[in-house]
Amino acid sequence: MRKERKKRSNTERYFLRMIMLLSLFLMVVLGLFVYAQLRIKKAAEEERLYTAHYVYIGKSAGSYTSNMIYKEARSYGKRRGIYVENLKSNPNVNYSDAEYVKMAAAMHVDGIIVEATDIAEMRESINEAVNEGIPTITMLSDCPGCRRRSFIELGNYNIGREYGRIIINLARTKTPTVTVLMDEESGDSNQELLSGIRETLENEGNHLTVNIRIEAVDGSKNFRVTDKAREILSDKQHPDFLVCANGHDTELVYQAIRDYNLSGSSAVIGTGFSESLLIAVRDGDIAALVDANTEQAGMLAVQLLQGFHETGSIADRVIIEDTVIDKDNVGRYLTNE
Amino acid sequence: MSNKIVFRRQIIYIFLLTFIPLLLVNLYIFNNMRAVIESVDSAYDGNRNLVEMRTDLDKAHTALREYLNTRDENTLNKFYVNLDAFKLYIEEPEETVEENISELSVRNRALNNLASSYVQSSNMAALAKKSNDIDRYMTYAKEAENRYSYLTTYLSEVNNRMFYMNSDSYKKLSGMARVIEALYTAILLIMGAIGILIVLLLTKKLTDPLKNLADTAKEVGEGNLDVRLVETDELNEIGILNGAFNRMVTSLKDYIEKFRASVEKESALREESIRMETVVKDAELKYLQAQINPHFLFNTLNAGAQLAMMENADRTYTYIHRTADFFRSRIKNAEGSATIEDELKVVDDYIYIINVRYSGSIHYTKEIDEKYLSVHLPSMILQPIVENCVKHGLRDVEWEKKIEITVTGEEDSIVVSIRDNGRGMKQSVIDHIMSGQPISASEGEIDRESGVGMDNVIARMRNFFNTEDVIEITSVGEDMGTEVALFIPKV
Repeated sequence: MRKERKKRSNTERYFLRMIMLLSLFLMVVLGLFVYAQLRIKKAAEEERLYTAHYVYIGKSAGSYTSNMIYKEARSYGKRRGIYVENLKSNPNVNYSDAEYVKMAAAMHVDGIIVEATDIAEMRESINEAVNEGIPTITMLSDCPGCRRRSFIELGNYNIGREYGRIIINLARTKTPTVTVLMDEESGDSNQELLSGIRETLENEGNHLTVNIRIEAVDGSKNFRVTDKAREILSDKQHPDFLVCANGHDTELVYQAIRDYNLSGSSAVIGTGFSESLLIAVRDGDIAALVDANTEQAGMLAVQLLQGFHETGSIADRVIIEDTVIDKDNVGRYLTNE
Repeated sequence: MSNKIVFRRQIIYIFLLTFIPLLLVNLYIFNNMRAVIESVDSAYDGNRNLVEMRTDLDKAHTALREYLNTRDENTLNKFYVNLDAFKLYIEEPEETVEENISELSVRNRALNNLASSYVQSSNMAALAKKSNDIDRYMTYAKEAENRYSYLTTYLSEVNNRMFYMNSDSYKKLSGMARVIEALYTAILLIMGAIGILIVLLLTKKLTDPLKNLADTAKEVGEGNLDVRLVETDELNEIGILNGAFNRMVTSLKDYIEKFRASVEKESALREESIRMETVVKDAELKYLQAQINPHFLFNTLNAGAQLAMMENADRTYTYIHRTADFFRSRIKNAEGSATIEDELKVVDDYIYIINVRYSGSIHYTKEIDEKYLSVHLPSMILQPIVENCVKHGLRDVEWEKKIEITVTGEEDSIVVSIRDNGRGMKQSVIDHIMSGQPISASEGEIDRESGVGMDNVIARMRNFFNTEDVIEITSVGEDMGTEVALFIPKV
């Protein structure tokens, strides 16, 4: 009887071993299945989920600064579940910025960030959007008189201060000459800029005797700017520094330098980051560029809109820091490009 | 475990053990692959939807433009029909704002809002036109035109973005499908390999005892019954078969042992029978040989007796005459049986001849119960025994030689006793003679002259009376003589 039980247990043990072996392999197979499932799940999870939709309307599709601010805003928004869309991503569509704001209003988005212009159509569009309950903030350039919730500005005074510091650093003589090229239409902002330059030169560059000359041109007519730039730079008595008050002028001056081969004349200082200007800095055609801290600008825009949705209040104006790009650090920005 | 159809159940277990996991894995893989393929297939559903949406939008807006220009009722109806078709694509806005939705959903929501605003403006424009409200008509027509433009722009944007994302998803899904396909192929291969391994191992485990049994059976078939019996711990039919086989081999071995013993015994009997036949034939042959000499001697002796009578030599005549009688009686009684009287006459003649030869040295006495004289016994029985007494028992004896024959009756047999007072006989020689075997030459027990030995006498007596107890040889000790007693059964 015992022998029979032993025999039985031997046979059963053999089957048991087989089943254990099978179980082991099944566990391996199950592991592979779980791995496959995780792969599928991971692929599904790669899609981000959002709770809000903001749009960014930059000044021009090719603007490096605008693109960088948008990228930062998008990246920051993504981390917080906010989808930031660049409405001007399609270069084939020729809507005005104001029309883009209208479009955004019709889309019933949760917020609009616009590099505004001081024109009536823009004012109307912004007002329409705000009336629809869409908080709208202007970025870097404002549209005075509109009902925008907030304005993120670099501050022309700050830019002027930065220009002043650049002049002090780059001056080779104790009596450097500076020509400031500005749009004759931008009265207040020009004054802020000049104040910034002057005060900095007085406070931080009191060892220098700087002669500042203002050249106001009609910025809406490009050839005027180009001609003025050629005139200044080709003059034997060209200034040591040519300061451009806005990005548009900077681009035109650079175009004149290239067109008339005026490189090596005055040290050109400008604003507005674009690919061509960054290349000009790299090549030494432009000495330095001053523009907004795009990282801070993009992040702040999203933060302001988010804060408005959460608390219902928002600062009317917010001044952001600037960034200086010269030959030493231009490589980093070109790589980013 | 039941004893019934266990082997079949084990085979079924093996099948199920390998087939069921493989089946489950296949079903699972099939299901998953179908899901993946469906995902890949539906990757561009959104784009198709948007294109259809755009088509209906264009139709509606074209009809609107036409109506605003012509104010034709049919065109208005056409506008409403197409607008209704377009509205089917507009999803109702969700109540919950704080929901987590994907990028495409975010854009779709914006698209829906744009579409709704277009529907609103276009409806208003159509209504204003219908009611001939020029100011409102102009405003709404412009708004509708703008919103149509925004909508188509954004629709293209969303469509492009969706296409890009779907392409990306499609790429990812295709890549994943390939990875999963490879993974599942690996899983199937592993499962298949495991299945084969298990089937091999279990089949080996199940069939090894069968193979062992077959090998052992083959050995048994070749005649080797000393095989090592099949050991098994199987409790299935193979185990039962092994047990039955083991018992069969044991039984076969016993049976063959018995059969061999039986054959040996039969062979021994046949050998004995052949030996007996040989003894009889030998006796007959020797008897025939013996007949030749008596005939010749008889004729010769008759001639000698007639010569002695003519010469008046009476003693010589008597001697030759009795010698002739002796040989005559031997010829006469050479076959079949003779009475005790005849046998005694032969012995008388023989003793007379011997005494003439050896100058009457043997003292011969008889004590006969005459009523038994007519009793039959094989012929030529007594004379050889007396001849043995003379030749062996009384040879070189220095005392008076005596031979005594008595014929007496006992309860169920007649006893013929021949006794001498000679050298006697060793018990071993007596035993040997009684066993019926011929005495070797060295033992000097064969009667070379007469050609008939004791073995012949014993064999004929036993055959004649068909019993073993017909003769007894007794010798008390050395020089104490020998007695040969014949027991003739009374009828």
